[in-house]
Amino acid sequence: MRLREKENRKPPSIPTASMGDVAFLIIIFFITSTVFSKDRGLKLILPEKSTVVAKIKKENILTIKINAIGEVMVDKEIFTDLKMIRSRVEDGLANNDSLVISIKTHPEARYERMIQVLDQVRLAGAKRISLVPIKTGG
Amino acid sequence: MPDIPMASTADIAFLLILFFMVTTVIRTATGLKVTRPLAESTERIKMRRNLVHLWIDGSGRIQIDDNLVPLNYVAERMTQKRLDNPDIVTILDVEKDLNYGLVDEVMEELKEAGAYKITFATDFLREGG
Repeated sequence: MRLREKENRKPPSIPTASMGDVAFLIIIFFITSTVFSKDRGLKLILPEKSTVVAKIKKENILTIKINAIGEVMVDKEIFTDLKMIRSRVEDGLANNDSLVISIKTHPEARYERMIQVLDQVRLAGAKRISLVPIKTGG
Repeated sequence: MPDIPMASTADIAFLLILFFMVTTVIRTATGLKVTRPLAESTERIKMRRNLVHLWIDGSGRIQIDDNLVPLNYVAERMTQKRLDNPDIVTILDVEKDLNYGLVDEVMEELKEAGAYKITFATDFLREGG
């Protein structure tokens, strides 16, 4: 007889009032675990490693050299103010559209210095940039 | 007295959940401790799914995503990553006081692995700041 009674009871329902509580709990989890992407930087595409060396005319290359103690030289002229590199590169690009900027860095120079120079070259609007290490010894 | 409708709070809450679920990128690895160089032309990296993180800290240790890797294995690891996903972009998070020589060697390894798209991780440098 008790079985019959059970069949007559109301169908079970999910309490809607506490749904919000559950949902907010999940929100809290996602809020705390979210890390908004802080990835940012300077984009560059490396050249392919191939045996065929692409030949670029000498007049289309602007070489910027960074030596071991971090001095920067553009076309045999030492730049103490890095900001000047920007206008120098801008001038170069204005004269020659297909100018390739080659940044030659000494292996013992600090990485930061190379980034500072690369930054100025990018600010000048150069699209074709090449990073070259200065070979030491053999 | 006006009442806040309880039934619809759940709907609002679930909407917020969806937003956070979509925007959440659960960090797979925490990297080595580095001080990034500053640059004015820093740009945000928009795509997040194809990123490979590479850290080089002040003592020259190299970490790729969640593994510490010796220099001569960088190419091998990166080749595996590239085979899994050909569109990878490598983020080089390098200590600013490090010698350029090591960075160059790592870049040579990346070239060998065919991972040509790279990004030097930098922080924004504000004019005059």
